[in-house]
Amino acid sequence: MRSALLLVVLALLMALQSPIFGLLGVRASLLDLPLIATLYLAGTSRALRGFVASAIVGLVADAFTPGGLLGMNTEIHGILFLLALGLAARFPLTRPVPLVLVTAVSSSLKTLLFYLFSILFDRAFEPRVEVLLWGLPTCLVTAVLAPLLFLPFAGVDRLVQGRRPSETMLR
Amino acid sequence: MMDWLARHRFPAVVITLLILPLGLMYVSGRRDSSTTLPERVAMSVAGWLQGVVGGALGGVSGAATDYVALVGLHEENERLRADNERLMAEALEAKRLAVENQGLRRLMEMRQSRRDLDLVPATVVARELTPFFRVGRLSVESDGAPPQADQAVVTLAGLVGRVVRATGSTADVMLLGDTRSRVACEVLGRGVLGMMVGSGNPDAYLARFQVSQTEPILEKGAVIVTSGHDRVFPRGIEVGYVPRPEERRQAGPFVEYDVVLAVNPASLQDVLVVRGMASPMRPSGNP
Repeated sequence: MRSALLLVVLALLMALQSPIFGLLGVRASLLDLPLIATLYLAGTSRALRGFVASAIVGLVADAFTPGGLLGMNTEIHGILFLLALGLAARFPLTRPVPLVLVTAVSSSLKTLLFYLFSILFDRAFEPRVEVLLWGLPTCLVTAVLAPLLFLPFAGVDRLVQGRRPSETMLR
Repeated sequence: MMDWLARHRFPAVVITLLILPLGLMYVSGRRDSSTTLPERVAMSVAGWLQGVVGGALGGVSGAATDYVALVGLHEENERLRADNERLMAEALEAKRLAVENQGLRRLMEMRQSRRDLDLVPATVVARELTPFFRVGRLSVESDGAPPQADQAVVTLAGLVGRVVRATGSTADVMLLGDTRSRVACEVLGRGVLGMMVGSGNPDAYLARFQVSQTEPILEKGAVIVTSGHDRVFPRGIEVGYVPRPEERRQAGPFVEYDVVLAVNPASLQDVLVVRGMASPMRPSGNP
């Protein structure tokens, strides 16, 4: 139930992202909402449920990414969840500073994984170093705004379970 | 067996969910394959949701604007403001309709001017949501055949891109700026053939025009149009122009020019999908 609601919230946010950013005149790709959802799951869920939910988060991201290979985000988000799960054991992801750092690391890794999988599976992909740089603005903006982007997902938890994973945030 | 699975449930699920997407990627990455069932389902659901949310957002923002404008004012001011708002809204609506009408008229002109092409109008419902691709999503307004992969997408100003994936009335369009984009082109009036390759640059809508080293140097402002040799894009559609031929460079066996593309996708709302060549008109009365 909780995971399903989180996925619905993510899908709605992603559907809103393009028209809202379009109105603001900003590139919609500056925010990586699926990554935030995966990190939230890693910081607040049990391993098995969180991993399955993260894979579905990747699938949602695939559906909303026109032109991408279906399955790429599913794979990447599965891997990122495992990484974030390990990091969450050391750094509390409900605190802003660790969250920003973990988001930056995860976003960079996501770009590298995208590059690697594109080389392996996308026959039309042209491997150029600039591709790695295009992910940089997204990485920076998503990392800086990560504590705020956690709030809609924390709201779902508050609604469903009365849990308050964001109580310690932004202190 | 069940005991073993119960004990190793987490690694089993992890391995399964990491292998399955690899298979999906392999199938999805084959360029010769048509749109697969999982891709069709994913596109349909996401495209529908993006269309609904985009439409609802327009309505909600309009209602919110009206509400904010009317709350907390004295009665008389309210009436005057309401009148003013109404007249302003009417004027803006008229202006919006005029702009929309102008856009549609341009599309109609395009359809009239290219009677050799079977064109169908489409609306942009989502733009690129990843920094790596220059791809947009369209909703095609047609009762006829749905869009298909490898159909060209154009506006009156020029070429936009080509459909890479389609399901129902929704299509993903790879823009010319995408690094994976290839378009057979020629220099208008000079017959110099070459290949237009997307630059992928997210901050400037540029492409690279590659021509043979044996070709003469292009002049500033040379207009690039489609040559039709790739059998995807009809011949004679404007693609862009060469702003600075002096900045050409060597790229393997080719000389490469930067090209400013004719269509800026950031401002696109309505486009036309080229479904193919129009069937020739038969003279009436023939036996």
